[in-house]
Amino acid sequence: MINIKVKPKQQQQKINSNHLDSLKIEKSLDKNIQIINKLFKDVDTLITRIIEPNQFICNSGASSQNKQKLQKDTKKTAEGSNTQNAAQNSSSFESQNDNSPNKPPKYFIAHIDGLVDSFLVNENIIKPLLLFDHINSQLNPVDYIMNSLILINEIKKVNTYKDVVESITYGDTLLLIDGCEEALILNTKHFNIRAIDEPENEKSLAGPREGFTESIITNLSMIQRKVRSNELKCKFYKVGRQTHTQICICYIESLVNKDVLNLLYKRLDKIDIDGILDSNYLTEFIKDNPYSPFRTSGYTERPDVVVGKLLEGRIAILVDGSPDAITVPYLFIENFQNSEDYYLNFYYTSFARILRYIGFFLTVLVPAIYISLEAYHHEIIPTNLLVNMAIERTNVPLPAIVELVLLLLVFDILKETGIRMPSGVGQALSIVGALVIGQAAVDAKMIAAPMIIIVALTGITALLVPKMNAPIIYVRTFLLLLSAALGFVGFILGFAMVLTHLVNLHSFGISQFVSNRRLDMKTVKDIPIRAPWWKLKTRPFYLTHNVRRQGDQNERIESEK
Amino acid sequence: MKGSKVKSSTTSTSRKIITRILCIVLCLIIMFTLAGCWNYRSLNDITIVVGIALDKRDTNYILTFEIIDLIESSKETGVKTKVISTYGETIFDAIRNTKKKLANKLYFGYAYVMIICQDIAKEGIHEIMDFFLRDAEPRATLFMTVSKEKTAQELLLTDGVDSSLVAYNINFILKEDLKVTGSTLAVPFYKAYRAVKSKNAFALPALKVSEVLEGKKAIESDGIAIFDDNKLISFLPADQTKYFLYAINEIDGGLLEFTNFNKKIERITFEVFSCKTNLKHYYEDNQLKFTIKPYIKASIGEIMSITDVNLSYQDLIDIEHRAEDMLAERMKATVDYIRHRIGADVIGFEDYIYKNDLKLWKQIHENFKELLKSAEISIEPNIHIINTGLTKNF
Repeated sequence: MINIKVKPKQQQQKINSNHLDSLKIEKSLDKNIQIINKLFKDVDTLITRIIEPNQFICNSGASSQNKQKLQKDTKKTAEGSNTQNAAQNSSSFESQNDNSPNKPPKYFIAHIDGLVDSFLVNENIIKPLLLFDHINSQLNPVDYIMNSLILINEIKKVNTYKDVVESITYGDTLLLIDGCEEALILNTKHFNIRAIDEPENEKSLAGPREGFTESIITNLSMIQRKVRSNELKCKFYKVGRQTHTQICICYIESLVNKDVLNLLYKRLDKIDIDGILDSNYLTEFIKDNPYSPFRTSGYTERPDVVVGKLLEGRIAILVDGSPDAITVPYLFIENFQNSEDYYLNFYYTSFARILRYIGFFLTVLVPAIYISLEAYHHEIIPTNLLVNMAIERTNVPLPAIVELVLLLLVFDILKETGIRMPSGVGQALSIVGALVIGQAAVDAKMIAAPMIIIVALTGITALLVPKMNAPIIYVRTFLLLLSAALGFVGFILGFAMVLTHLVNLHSFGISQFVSNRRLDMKTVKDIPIRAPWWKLKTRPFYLTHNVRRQGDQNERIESEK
Repeated sequence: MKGSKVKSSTTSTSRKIITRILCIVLCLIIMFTLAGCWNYRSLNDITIVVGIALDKRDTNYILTFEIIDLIESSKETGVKTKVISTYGETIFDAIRNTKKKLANKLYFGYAYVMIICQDIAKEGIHEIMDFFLRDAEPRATLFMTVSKEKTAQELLLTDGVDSSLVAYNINFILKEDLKVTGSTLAVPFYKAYRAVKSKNAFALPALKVSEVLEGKKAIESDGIAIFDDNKLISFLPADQTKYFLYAINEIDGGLLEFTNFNKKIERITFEVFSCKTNLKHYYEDNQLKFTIKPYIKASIGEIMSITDVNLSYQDLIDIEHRAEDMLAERMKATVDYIRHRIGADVIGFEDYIYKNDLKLWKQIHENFKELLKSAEISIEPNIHIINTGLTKNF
């Protein structure tokens, strides 16, 4: 495509093998253009352009007539001008400089279509470059252009092609200057993103309604707006060999646990993957117990939740392109906590939280207990219930355990179809389907009626703790099978095993389940219930060393009353 | 070099994981196959027994079970029961023989009552209790009763009045008796066995068949059966049982009714709220002396008089005194009847002395029976009227 014979073989190999790290920006603009064209071969969205200020115009200042002429010139396609220039001008910047020391150099800009604001590029980059009159030979032209010419707020000097490629593909504009070994990266990002709206999965009755979008900068802005302090730190980090996804680590300097932060960096450094499309990729990489179905890091789509966690000394990780932020360390209790707990009346939310605990226990334990009672421990069932259950069970073909496993499976199938189906239809269909199937199956004596109650109870209560969707299924099945084999003995055995696993769970070195070996009233305030805000004087001490959250003022107000 | 090292370490860790998983799988397999499902028995695999009646004909035991009929029972008809009968040389044999007639095995976890016929009771009930001690299913709280009819079977063949389960009826009649009527004693299996083992005298509730309506037969509790040294020796009628219960501190409620009460009042009924009976003993010169002191809290439940009675405070005190005297008289009669006519220490005087005065017991236990017969027993009830019970006065 490009007619250039001067191509050292080594360099070409480097380009082909994509060793961008070692590929430095050359002094010669032409060489750089060649490299860029080679790098972005077949990337038709790349827009390149050579800017060659007319010396006459430059020296005599810009007149409206000349401007028109200029604009005509600039309409040449990038490729055409490339070849033209390469053929015409093989001399370097120095040789030009020798002839006329103040002559402005040639420039080359490149960006990707659709990611940049064209108006910005035209007005704030191309225009000043064309109109700039002379160059001060005392200064490095790169610094001069960066500091005195370009009307862009964010400019970065780079000298490797790695940075160039990463920036261009993110909507920045590359500016190459003839004769300089450094390039300028100009922030011209402009792309369409989804509007900020309430997250579908984390709706709440009270509190802020905004949710994260796919743009990391927008997301960070939402966090920053809530914490107006220089204590809020946002460290960028790149992950993904191909995607170079930006992730941002946010924390509050004075609150964060430094050990956790170091551990996080250590773990992030170890990640070597081609791409990160969602925060869950990271979640699985940085997990303490990689095989455990239980979560060891939190996720949320709500900026207020992130800030709430930051204020308790946690660290948030935002991933570009994902509306879910990760928060670490994650305590087991967070599965049951909800941002709404803190926005609504504490009497109500304490009750709601207790309901969530009950829901968790019901969904995990009910099938196992039922099967234990049904198959082994008839003595415990009240007589009337036993008789009714026995009546229902007569003439039913399958054993209770098979029935239960099948029905639980059917419930999960219905749930999954409900989620995947087009909105609206799914829910209605699954409810009707479940009701009809359930009723018909009982009437046809295929399954016993109490089984429907058990499965419905199990299924519905599972929805109370959506953050535990995965562990619930496995723990429930595990306990169910053990109970079916050994009755309450198996049940207790399984429960003990699950509990042991939970106690062993860690999140970034912090015990998830047992924060403290003794009962501490301070922790009780925000674990089984949610105490009123003026009582929540301290942060969870196992997350941060800076424990005090409120002053003593509140206490005085209390005593005045 | 470095690469190979990494590779070897990963294979060793993966091998470790594989061995660990294999261990768990093996454990589970062993657990499930050796111990698992050892007793898996679904609810449709059992025949639920609610009542047991024990009879004896010649050398065979005849067992009658009230079982829940799962086929006839439905939402509309409610729970129905069937009665099946079987026989065998031993209790266990008889129970196993039912399997010849039934698809499912009998399940005794919900057996409420065991009814023993008089013949077995007279021979001694220890021999029939053994099976229920050994078998895992029957509960220790199963109520033991004695049939006043010819056979025990007859009782299970009656119709339930407010529940179709006869055994369920008996269960509630016995359980609530002490609070409501105070006419019989509910004795669970473990208490009966303890008494049998200690060879003490004890009482079991007695049941009879009575006609509630024309042609409809039902269960009725009828006093107690008195056992001594595990053999039935006599029955105590229901009206006397009440005073016996006052003596042994078992009353928890019930009524006290008196006729020919005093000049003003023809008949009076007290509703008893609580009763606490204290027993005291004295021993002097080969003469035992017992004082039974029931402290009764009651209200006036009914006064039957020709004219309206306006009760003053003094009247109430008079009523209390009169009632105390009458109660003492009746209790004395009952206690003497048990002591002299029946001749069993079912009130537990000896047990009381053993527990409270071991020295004395050691001294006198050999000829306690004679001592008891000649003992002086005084009864000093204390009735406290806590209210007149009048709620509507126009």
